[in-house]
Amino acid sequence: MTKKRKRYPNLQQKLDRPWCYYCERDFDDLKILISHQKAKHFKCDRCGRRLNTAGGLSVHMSQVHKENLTHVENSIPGRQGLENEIFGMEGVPQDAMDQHNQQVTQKHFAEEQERARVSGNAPRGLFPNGSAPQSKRPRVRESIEEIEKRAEQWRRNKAAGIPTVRPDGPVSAPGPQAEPSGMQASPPLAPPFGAPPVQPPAAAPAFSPPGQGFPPPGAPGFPPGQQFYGGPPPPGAANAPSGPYPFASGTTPAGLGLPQRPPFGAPLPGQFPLSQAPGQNGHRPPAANEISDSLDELISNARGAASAATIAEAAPKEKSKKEKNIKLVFEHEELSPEELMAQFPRYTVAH
Amino acid sequence: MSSQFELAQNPTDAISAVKFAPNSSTRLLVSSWDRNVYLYDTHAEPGGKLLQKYEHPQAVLDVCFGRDDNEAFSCGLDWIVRRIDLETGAMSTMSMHEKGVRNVIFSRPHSLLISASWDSTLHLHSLSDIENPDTYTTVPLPSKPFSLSVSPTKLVVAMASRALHIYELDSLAKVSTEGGVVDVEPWQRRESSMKYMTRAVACMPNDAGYASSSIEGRVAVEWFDPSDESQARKYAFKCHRQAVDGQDIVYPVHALAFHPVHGTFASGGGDGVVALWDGVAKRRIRQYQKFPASVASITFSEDGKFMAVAVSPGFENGMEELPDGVIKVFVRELGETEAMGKKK
Repeated sequence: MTKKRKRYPNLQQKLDRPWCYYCERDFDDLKILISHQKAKHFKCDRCGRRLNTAGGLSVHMSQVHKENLTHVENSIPGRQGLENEIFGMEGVPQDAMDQHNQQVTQKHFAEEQERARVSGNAPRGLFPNGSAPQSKRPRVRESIEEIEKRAEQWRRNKAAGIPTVRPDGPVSAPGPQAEPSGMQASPPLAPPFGAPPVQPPAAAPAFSPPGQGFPPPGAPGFPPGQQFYGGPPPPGAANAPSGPYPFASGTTPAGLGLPQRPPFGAPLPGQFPLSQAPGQNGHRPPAANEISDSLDELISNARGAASAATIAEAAPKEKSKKEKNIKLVFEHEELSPEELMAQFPRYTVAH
Repeated sequence: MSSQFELAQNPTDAISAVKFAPNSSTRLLVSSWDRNVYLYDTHAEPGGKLLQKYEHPQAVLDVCFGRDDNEAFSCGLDWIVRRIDLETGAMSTMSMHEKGVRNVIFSRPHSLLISASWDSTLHLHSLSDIENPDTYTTVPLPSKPFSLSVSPTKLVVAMASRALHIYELDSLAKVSTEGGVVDVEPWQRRESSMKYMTRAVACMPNDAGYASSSIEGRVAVEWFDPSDESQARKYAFKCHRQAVDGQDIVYPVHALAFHPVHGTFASGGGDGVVALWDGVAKRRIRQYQKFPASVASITFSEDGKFMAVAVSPGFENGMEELPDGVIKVFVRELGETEAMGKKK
């Protein structure tokens, strides 16, 4: 008996789940969401009555208990207001909806990536219809002219005494591997000889979807139990490009004799559907010409992330000092209100 | 489950303090600028019953219960700390300061009465010293005291110039029978963690620390334990503010009171708002519907079942007379879990 394969929900299934506007929790179905909202957010803390909406609770509080409801209980900051009339999924403002969908999408891909990394399997959706991953030595489609051109080059190199590459690179695979017939001059997948090998994707953190606060591997808080020491190198260890990459496809740069990695982001359909998460502009797939800088960038990003917390704490303080737009109802350096009141003629009696 | 009502007979001028009796949760003392101390039974009849009125020569700034429900102490602008027999109405002078007396407080475990005056002194009266009932000890302070609070073992004195002293009641009780002027070294000297004048201070009933408030809509929570670990836990937060046309109107936080059972605390501000806070979880538990005027004083009954809120017209910048306004005492019966902190 083979182990039953765990079914992971796909993105659409995740996006379809009802979720609570006030606390961002998601639920199996709408009924459960509504009972959650009644119990957690629309429950009167005076008498325990469960109302259907925040507005309903507000009316109940003012009529029955003569109190003003100022905010929705147990809600995340920024969603405490009463102005949105929420019932289940009704009334959720579009911007909150977009934000939620974006988060779910990012989390989905982060999880999928992580599973792929841990299990060594190709991420789902990479090979449609469950087709097998491409063989490690993919077919090279070369036209006759190209083969001839290469042969000519080889002859010239030989004559000039330039050492030839070992014939185990896929590019040097002879004709039979190429598409036998019917193929027009398709673009070569392999780089021409002498061309620099495609850089390994050094800026691996670009891989982690933005907006998730994904820690770099090995950083504190990395989920335990996901061993990356023995497994394939985690993203970020790209400066040691010797390990087999789980979803290595494409061609081998002849000069290295190593499987080439796909440029990140490119082969994964729908990888960053909503990649412009606010505040995460620093993380994006690097363009080829940026790659040489990407390691430095990586380091500085990591540093930046580490110090970001302290900066974020310090920043609001500075801000509040700057924005002096406050009016003190009572302001006196040394005298308390009582002392000032005591100076009123009606309270002063000679001793 | 919970209800709120206002006392029917209220003082005629601003209220300075409200205090519940130690052994009865319906016995309430109110001191007022109208020169009277009022004693109520809050539940004898609807709207409470005014049991007695104790007239003073001048405005009364503070009042507290003494050893039992029939003994009270008052202080005020006539510089005198008085003992009041609530049964007979007889008043006697405990001591006289050299300026108005702002606060008077009684520590039951130490049987110690402490008064604080704008002459920058404390007077300590030991009520267990029956042989010398007239003896009191004067403790000089570096600044004018603004607020006093006692925990089971400590006295916290909040003063002008953002100074704050924490005294051990044991050492104060020791010198209280000596008489004369004794310069007692405080257990800790601290500077307020807030930028503006300290308005009120209140100790946690579990003896762990205290909360203080400032005239600039802010409350700080600190711990007695001087270790770095405990000191790192202290924090302050903004409250009692109102945004009007992009400008924050900042009200003073006049009143602080800890709930004797749950250890949560209430703050009352010039905006007429009373809020309940969980100082440990750093959460607001609830905020009550706005009162019709500035909140002057808050007190919880000893069993934690009632909260009394005194409301008086607020005193603002540059006023030459106290404005007209509502002067009332509200008594709120708290629900079982109303003042309970967040779980976990």
